[in-house]
Amino acid sequence: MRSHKLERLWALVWKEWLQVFRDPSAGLVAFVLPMIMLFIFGYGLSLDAKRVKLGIALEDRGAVARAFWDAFAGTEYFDALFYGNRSEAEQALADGDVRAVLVVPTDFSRRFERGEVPSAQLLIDGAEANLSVIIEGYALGVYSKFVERERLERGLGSTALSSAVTVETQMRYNESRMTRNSLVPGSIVLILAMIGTLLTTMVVAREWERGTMEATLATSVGKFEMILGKLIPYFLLGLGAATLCAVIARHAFFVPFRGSAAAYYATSSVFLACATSQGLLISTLCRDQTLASSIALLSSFLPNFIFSGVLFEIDAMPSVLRALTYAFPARYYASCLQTVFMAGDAWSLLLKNMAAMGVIASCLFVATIAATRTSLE
Amino acid sequence: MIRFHDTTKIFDRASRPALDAVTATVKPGVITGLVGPDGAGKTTALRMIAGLLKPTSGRIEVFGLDAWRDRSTIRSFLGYMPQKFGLYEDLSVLENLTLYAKLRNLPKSQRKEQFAKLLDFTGLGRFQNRLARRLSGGMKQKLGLACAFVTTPKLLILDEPGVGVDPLSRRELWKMTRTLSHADTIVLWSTSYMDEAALCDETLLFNDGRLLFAGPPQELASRMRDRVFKAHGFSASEKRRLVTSLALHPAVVDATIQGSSVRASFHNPLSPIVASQRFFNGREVETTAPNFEDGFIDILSQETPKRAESTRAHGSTQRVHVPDAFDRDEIVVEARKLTKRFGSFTAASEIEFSIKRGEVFGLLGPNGAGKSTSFKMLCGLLKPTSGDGFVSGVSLRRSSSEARKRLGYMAQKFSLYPNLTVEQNLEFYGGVYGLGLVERRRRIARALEEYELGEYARSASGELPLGYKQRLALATATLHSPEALFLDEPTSGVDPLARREFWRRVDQFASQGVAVLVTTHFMDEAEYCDQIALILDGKKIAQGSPETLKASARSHDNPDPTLEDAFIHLIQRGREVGNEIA
Repeated sequence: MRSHKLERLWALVWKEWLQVFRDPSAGLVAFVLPMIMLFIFGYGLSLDAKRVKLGIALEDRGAVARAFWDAFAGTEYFDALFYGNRSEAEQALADGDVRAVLVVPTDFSRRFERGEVPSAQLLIDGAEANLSVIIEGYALGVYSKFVERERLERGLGSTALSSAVTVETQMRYNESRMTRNSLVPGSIVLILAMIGTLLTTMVVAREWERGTMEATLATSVGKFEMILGKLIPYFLLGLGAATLCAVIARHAFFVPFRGSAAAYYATSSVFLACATSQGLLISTLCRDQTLASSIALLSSFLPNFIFSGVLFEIDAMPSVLRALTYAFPARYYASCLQTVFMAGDAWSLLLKNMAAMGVIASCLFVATIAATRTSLE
Repeated sequence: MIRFHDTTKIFDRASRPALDAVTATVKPGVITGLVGPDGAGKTTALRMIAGLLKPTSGRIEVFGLDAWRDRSTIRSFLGYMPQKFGLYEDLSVLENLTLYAKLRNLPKSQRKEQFAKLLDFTGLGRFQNRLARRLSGGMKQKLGLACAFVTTPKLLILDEPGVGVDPLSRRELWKMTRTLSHADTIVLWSTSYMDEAALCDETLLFNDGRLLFAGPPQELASRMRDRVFKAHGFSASEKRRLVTSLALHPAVVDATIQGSSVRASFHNPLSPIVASQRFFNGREVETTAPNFEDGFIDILSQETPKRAESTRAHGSTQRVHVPDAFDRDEIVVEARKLTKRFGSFTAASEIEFSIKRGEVFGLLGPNGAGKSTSFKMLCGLLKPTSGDGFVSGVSLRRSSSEARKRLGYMAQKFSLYPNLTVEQNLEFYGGVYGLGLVERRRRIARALEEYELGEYARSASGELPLGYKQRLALATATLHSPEALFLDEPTSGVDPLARREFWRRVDQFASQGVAVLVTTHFMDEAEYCDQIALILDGKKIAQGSPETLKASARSHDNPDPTLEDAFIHLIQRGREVGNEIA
C-alpha cells in the first residue's frame, strides 16, 4: 500500500513538472514574471532622489551667484534648469516642469561679499511628501557646503551656519544608502508569494475546469497525495525562482549577500510553505479559475506588497494596519531577507521570524487538509 | 450489479431534485445507456455511482458496496471518463496513459503489454508522443477511453463519450468499448443523442431527474410498433399545412417534416390505409420502423400532458402561412471560397455554398471540423483569410456591419444576459438592432406572446428552463425581422419536445422567405434541413438534400441507410480518394 501511495504521489509530482515546463503560461508566471519584477524594482523603482528637476531663478548674475548655480548644477542630485526671474520659475513649478524652485535674489552676491550669509528661497512641490523632504535636505546640504567653501576661499571665517554642530551620520548595513539594496530583496517576497500562491491557485483551478480533477478523484488517489502532489512541485519551483532571484540580485544589481545560502533557503522554504498552502486553500474553496486567481491576487500579492514593510514603513501605519501585518508572512520574510542580504546570519532574528511564519503555514496547511475533499461534495 | 434504492439528489433546496427517487438495476456484461436531455440527471447519477457525490436520500449499491461509504474501495476497480475527457493537455498520449496507470496502481510489469494493446485499439500508436492538446476531438475521446480502460476496470463510467465526435470515431468508440470490456464489467454510457440509445444493450431514460424508462432500447421503440407512418412527396406548403393539422389532432403524438416527407406517430396502432385516409389526406403512407425517440416523446406526451397541450396550442396560433410572394430562387446567403487560417492551421478551406430564400441549410460535422469557423465568417465575426461571404448581396468583407444588420444570429450558448429579465434582454437586443421605441415595444409585445414568454417576462433569463432560454434566444435573434437567420448548434441538449417546437418555429421563418443556416452535430437534426453540407477537417466533403446524401450510401447490405451511415460512407470514400492521390 505504502509503495502504491508513493508511486502515485511521484506520478502526480512528475505530471505537474511536465506541465509547468510545457505550458507557456506557467513558465511565464514562474520565470519571466520574476525577472520583470526584479528589474522593475531594481531599476525602475528607486526611492533615491537623483536628477530631481530643480528650477533656479537666477535674478542675481554676480560671480557668487554664478558659483552658487555651479554648485547645484554640479551635483548628481539635481538637474538644474535656468530661469531668468522668479515668476518664470514659479510658472514652471505650477506646470509641473520642475519639482522645486530656488530663487536667488538680486542682492545675493552683494550680501555675500559683505560677509553676511545671504538667503535664497526654496519653493518645493509638496505633492510627493517623501520626495519634498528629501529635496529640502539635499538643497540645504548643497547650500551649506557652498557657503563653507566660498567663505574659505575668500578668507572669511566660518559662520553660524557652518560652525553649528554638525551631525556625522553613519549608515550601517546599507552604507551607500541605496534603496535598491532593500528593494531588490523586498521584491523577492512578492515574487515568491506570486509563484507560491498565484501559480498554485491557477493550476488547481485549471484542473477543475478541464475535468482532470474529476478524473483524478475517481482513482485511488487519497487526500494527502492530492495535496502533496500540488505542494511539492510548486514549492520546489519557488525554491528554483528564489535561487534565480538571489543570483540576479547579487550579480546584476550588486546587492551584497552577507548571509549564508543555508539561511536564505531555510527562510525561503518556510515562506513558500505559507504561500503554496494559501494557494491550495484558495483553489480548494473556489473552483472557478478567474475567481480563484482574483482572490489569490487580492489575498496574497497585495497584502504582501503593502504589509512587507519594504515600500511602506510599518511603523508609520495606523495601529490597526500595523497589527494586521503580523497576520501575513510577508513582514517576517522581508525582515529575514533584509538581514540575510545586508547584515548576515543573525540566527536569533531569523529563527524568531521563521517560527512566526511556521505558525501561519501550519494554520493554512491544516485548513487546506480540512477543506480538501476526495469527492465533489 | 448496481442498484439504485430510491435515490434522490438535491443540490439546492429551492429547485427541483437533480435526481428524483430513482430505483433501478444495472447489469454487468452489457452496455447500459443513461439517456436523456441536458439536465436530466445523467451526470449526477454517474457521479453518485463513482462516489463523487453523496445521495441526499436513498442509496446506491455497487457490487454489494455502498457507493458513498465504500467509495475508496470502489475506486480501486473503477474506470471513469468525465465529460471533458479528463486528459492532461500538456502531456503526451503515452504520458497520459502512464499517469493513469500509476494512479490506478497498474503494476509496472503489465504496463508495456497493456499500453501496446490500448494504443493498437485506439489507433494512437503513431501519435504516442503527441501532446493531448494537439489531438483531434475524436482522438482525444479515444485516449480518454483508453485511460479509463488502463487497468481493465470492473466498473466503467463514461460520461457523454460520443458527444461532438465525428460519426466514424463514434463507431470506433463503441467498438472499443465492446471489445475491451469483460463479461463481468459494468459499462455505463451516458448520452443526449437519442440515436445513440439504440446502440446500447440496456437503457435508463431520464428526464427532469426522473427515470422514465428502464430496459432494452428496442423495447421502448417496439411500443410504437404500427404507430409511426411516413408519407412522401409533398410540396413546401402542403407539408407545412399537413404537419400543422396533424399536430392539432388529439390522436397524434408527434408530427415532423423530414425533407419532402411528413412523419407522424399516433397514440394507438393503425393500419396504413386508415392512417392514409384519416390523417394523410389519402396520400400513400408507409409504416416506418419506430425509434427510441418516438418512444421517448410518447412517454413525455403522457407524462406531461400540459406540456404537450401547450405545444399543440402553439400549433394553433401558428397560422398556416400562404407563402408570401417571394422568389424561391433568390440567393440570400452566399459563401465564396471562404478560407480561414490560424497560423499554419487551416480551420476552413474554400468553403462554398449558397442559401436561397425560404431554404433551411445545414452545416453538419463533428466538433472542430470547421463548422463554427465558416459560420462565424458568414456572421462577420471572423475575417476570412481569403474568399468572401454575402448576405443579400452585401459583402461581409467590405461592409460587414451593413451585412450583419440583415441577419439574425443565435449563438451556441444563446448569448443572453442571465441577470437581465426576459423583457430586458429583448429590450437590449431591440436597441442593438436599432429599433425605435414604438416599434421596439410593439415587437417585444408580439414576441412575448408568440414565444409564450409572457409569464416569464419579468424573470431573470438565467433562471429559465433550457427550452425557454432557447425560445428567448430565437426571439432576440429575430426581433429585427432579418432576411437570414443563423443558428449555431441551436438545440443541443434540449429535450425532443422542445426541439420539435423549436424546429417548427424555424420552419415558420423559412415559410416566410427567411434563409436559415444551421450548424449541428446531431445527425438526426439534419433531417429537418432542405440542404446539407458535410464538413470535415475544414473542407466541404459533400452537399445535397438529406435524401440524395442517404441515397449515395445505399448498398445491397444497407438498403435504408441513415444520414450517419451516409456521413461515414462519405468520410471513408474521401479518405480512400485521399490515399489514392497520396
